[in-house]
Amino acid sequence: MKKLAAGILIILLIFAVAGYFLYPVISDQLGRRRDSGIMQDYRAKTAQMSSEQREKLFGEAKAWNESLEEIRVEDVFMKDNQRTTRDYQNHMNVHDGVIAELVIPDIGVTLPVFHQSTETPANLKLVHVNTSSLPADGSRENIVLAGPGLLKAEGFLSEIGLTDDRMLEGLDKLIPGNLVILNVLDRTMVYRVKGVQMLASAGLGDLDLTPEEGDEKLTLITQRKDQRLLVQTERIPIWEARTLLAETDRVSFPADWQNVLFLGFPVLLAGLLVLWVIEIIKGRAYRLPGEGRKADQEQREKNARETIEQIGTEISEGEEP
Amino acid sequence: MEIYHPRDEELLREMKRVRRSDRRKRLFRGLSILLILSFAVGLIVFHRYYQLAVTHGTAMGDTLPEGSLVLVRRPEAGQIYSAGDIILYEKRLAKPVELTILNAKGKTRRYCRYVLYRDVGTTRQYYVSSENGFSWIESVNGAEIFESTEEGTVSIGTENLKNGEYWLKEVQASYGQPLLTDPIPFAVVNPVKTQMKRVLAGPGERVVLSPYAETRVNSREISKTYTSGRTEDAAPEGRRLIMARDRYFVQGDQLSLSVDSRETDYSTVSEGEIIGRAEFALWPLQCFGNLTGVQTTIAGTETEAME
Repeated sequence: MKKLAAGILIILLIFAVAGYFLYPVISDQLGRRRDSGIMQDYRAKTAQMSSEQREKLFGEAKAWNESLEEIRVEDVFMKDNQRTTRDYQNHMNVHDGVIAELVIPDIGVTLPVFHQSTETPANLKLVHVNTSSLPADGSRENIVLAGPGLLKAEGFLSEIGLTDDRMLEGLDKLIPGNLVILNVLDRTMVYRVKGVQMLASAGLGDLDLTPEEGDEKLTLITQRKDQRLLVQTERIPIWEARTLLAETDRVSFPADWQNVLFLGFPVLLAGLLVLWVIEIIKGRAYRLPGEGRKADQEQREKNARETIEQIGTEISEGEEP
Repeated sequence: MEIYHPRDEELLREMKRVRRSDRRKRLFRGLSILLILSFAVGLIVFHRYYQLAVTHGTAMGDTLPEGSLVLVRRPEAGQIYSAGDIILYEKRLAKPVELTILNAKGKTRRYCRYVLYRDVGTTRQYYVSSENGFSWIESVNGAEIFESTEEGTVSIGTENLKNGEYWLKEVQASYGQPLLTDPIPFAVVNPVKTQMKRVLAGPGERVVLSPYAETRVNSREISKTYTSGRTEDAAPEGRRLIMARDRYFVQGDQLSLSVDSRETDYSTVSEGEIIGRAEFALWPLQCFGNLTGVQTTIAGTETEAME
């Protein structure tokens, strides 16, 4: 009994430790799966639209951009700065509040971009900052996106240091020359990183992000404790993007032994299961006195008691002269 | 309550010892058989049926993001791939070789005629091509003739030439010049890229690319359910082609960023270049699942006119 309890405890401990290390990975993968589903719906909606409908959306976004005289962002991560107008939220609202998809190949970021609002604030999701240009594939744009870095897990789990989605965690690894891709409706807009800066949160308000005529820019902002990381990028033409990205387009192969290991693994697992079952079956044949279930124990005690009584009566009978 | 007897204790201990050693021997035998068996199975499956591959780059969009692990099935004899299959292939980007031929004094050889040959072991083979294909023949009679231009250059297309060393031999000089006796060596060094993209059309099918309309395969519009981006970014002018006997038209799922058969330089993939078909995606988890069975064309969109 004691051995069984100890065994169960050990197994639970192993699961707990494995779970602790696997939680961030699995949580991030589940988050990516959810995001991937959202983007599939987005693309399905886009495919159903006619080209006139798409042009109309871009036209509205262009009008919005023209109405912006100056682009300045306050600290978008503060709770109080999250309220936006219904009018803003209706622009470029393709599906469920998602405007576009941000892909940064060099750091493995693939995230949907939401309208900034109280339900989707900048410190929980990647949002488009409402005071900046909407992606309209036009000239004179500075699209500002803001999102959190590593997201902590819910409640008690964050106390023990677990994290959920990785979001914009790798943004500080970007260097000038890296590419950033924004997929809007059916367009693919590619930007090249020009500069990465770290600012104090108050410094965001001082920054003037107004674009000049002919500028096509994308700016990314993320939190790093109480500082703000700013990445400024400029658009490159699609043919240049294709040439650059074509170099990364290749397939690599794991080593031969890794292939053999992977393909033989199911056999190994199945075999271990079979061995375990064999051990259990053989174990029955090997049962010794002092082991076994309670019923046998009671039976043995009964036998022992009877034997003693018998010996006792034999002795007492034998004593009788 | 138990009857205590000194000999019983010892017997019990001995029996436990025997049990333990029996178990150890059994496990040892079982595990070694199991390890050898799984290794053997892994080896057989790897050599004859499947292999693993990791994709990189953005060409396949969200279908296979950077660093996806897929299971690729090796081709069988006479394997044909259908539209919708994601195939793994080794593409040689065949750039033509341009040679400017000069004589000993440095003057260009204009309007001279050459044959192309290679040495395989001790045999010399001459190149000849026709509409049906190409071949290497042993005799110089019947070999293909390459003629140099007014500037003295010979342009040799390398789609059918594997990377390696080749020679040009002059067989006819012009203007009564003496024949150039030394053969002219040159190397074919085409970059080889191993890539994974989706088949849109196979041998004998028709593909029409147009900047004004959706891509059509055999007059049917292609489906956009699995793609992102737009074809205009990749093929700004229209194109129209019919697949040869052993050629496949491939396209990446991210239409704007993928360099694929829509470009004339990239061209189509020949059967000999195909390494296998990606059947199952293992990682990342959002892509986990079967990769086959995707319908690439929308039924009911056939039209009479093309473009």
